[in-house]
Amino acid sequence: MEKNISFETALKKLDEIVSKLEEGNLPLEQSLLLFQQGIELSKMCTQKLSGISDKISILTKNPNGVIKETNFK
Amino acid sequence: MHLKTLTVSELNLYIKRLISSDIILNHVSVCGEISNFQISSNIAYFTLKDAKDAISCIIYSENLEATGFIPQDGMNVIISAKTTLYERDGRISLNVYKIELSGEGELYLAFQKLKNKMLREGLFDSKYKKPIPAFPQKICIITSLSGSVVHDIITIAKRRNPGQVLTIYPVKVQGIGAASEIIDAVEYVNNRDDIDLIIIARGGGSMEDLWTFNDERLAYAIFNSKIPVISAVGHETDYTIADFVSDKRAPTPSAAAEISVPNIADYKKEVAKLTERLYFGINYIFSGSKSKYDNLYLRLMHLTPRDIVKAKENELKYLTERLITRMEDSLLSKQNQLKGLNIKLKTLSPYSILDRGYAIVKKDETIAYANLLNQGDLLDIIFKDGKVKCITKEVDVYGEKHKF
Repeated sequence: MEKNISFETALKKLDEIVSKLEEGNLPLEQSLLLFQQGIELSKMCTQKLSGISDKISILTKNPNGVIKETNFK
Repeated sequence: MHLKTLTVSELNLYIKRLISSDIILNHVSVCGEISNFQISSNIAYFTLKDAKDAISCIIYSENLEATGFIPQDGMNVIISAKTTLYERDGRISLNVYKIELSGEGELYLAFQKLKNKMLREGLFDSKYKKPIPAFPQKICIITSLSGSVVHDIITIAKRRNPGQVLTIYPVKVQGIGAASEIIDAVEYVNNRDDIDLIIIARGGGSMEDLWTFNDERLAYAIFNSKIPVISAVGHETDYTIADFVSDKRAPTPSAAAEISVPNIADYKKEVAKLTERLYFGINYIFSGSKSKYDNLYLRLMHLTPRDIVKAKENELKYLTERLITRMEDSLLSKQNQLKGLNIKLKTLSPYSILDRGYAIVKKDETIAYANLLNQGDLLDIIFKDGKVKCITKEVDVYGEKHKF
């Protein structure tokens, strides 16, 4: 599974996998594979949600009109 | 009277003097409609007209700042001005030092006029509205650093998602040049590739204060932005052209943060719920398979030869037991029979009669009949307690009648 998918995509995929698994009419091996993917997605989502950043920046124009991005506060 | 011939410059100078010495023309108050309004660096030009005539006007930015709103074409205003002549082209112009709206509803009318025009052009069409990303990577807040707007948005954004990346583009949000600064900001952000949402925000104020957001050029800049724009201007009851043309209107700057930044706690709950369902789902499938397996195992065990053998073993055991019982029964009865026969045999033995007082006559063999003997035969008579040797003296065989 690709690592760089967005949170939204990961959440949507997880939702789909859960629904598929809940239908319960898949062979055991395939169910296990889905479960594994689901766990990976769940971890990925949790990781993405637990990110904390102080990334607040400010865009300021210097006298030459060039805009620079610096940390805010 | 013959007047001296004048040069153009001399004439213009004369007119200029005449105008400036006139009390009325020096402090004239004129009402009319603004048209061709244009701002350059520190001066604005427009034409004031009525149904018939027109006159050109200029206003310096410091005077324009003081009006509290940006004049727009179509506005009915009362201007206070000094009449001047531009000698270079002999044109009379009004040097405006004050612009007032001619009526209370004038700004509102101008707003309605612009709004209707843009509505007709289709700028507010919902088909042009871009979706707001559910998880914006980086939000650019275009607003003024003064006031609480920046602080409010950051506080709410961080509360909802501590990981939200934000950048601030400080601009003037009121007065001359404000619209241009916001337009520049929108265009600049559109040339970056890291920002996927713009919030244009301003705190509350009067309609004049918010007038920047009714600028037609700003409306087009917002319309043309490839990045979705949320407008958050003034209070909930304030509507500006920017609100109509942006992809989403937030009633207040704080609300813009609520709308644009996902609440991580909700998503955490959702992920937890989905994960729980995932475990439950696989467990359900497992237990289903397990019980199916158990069931089959049980059925298989019933079919195994072990059971058949066991059944046969049991049968064999039963039969063996029966056999032994039978044999024992039969043996016992035989024994009983033998005992009976022994008793019978004893009773039938010739010797048993000796007990009852009889004796046995023997001549080598037992003699049962008298006619087997002759006179002189040597006999043994056997009693219970001994035997006697005798000689036959006379044989007398009974006739038929006398036989016992």
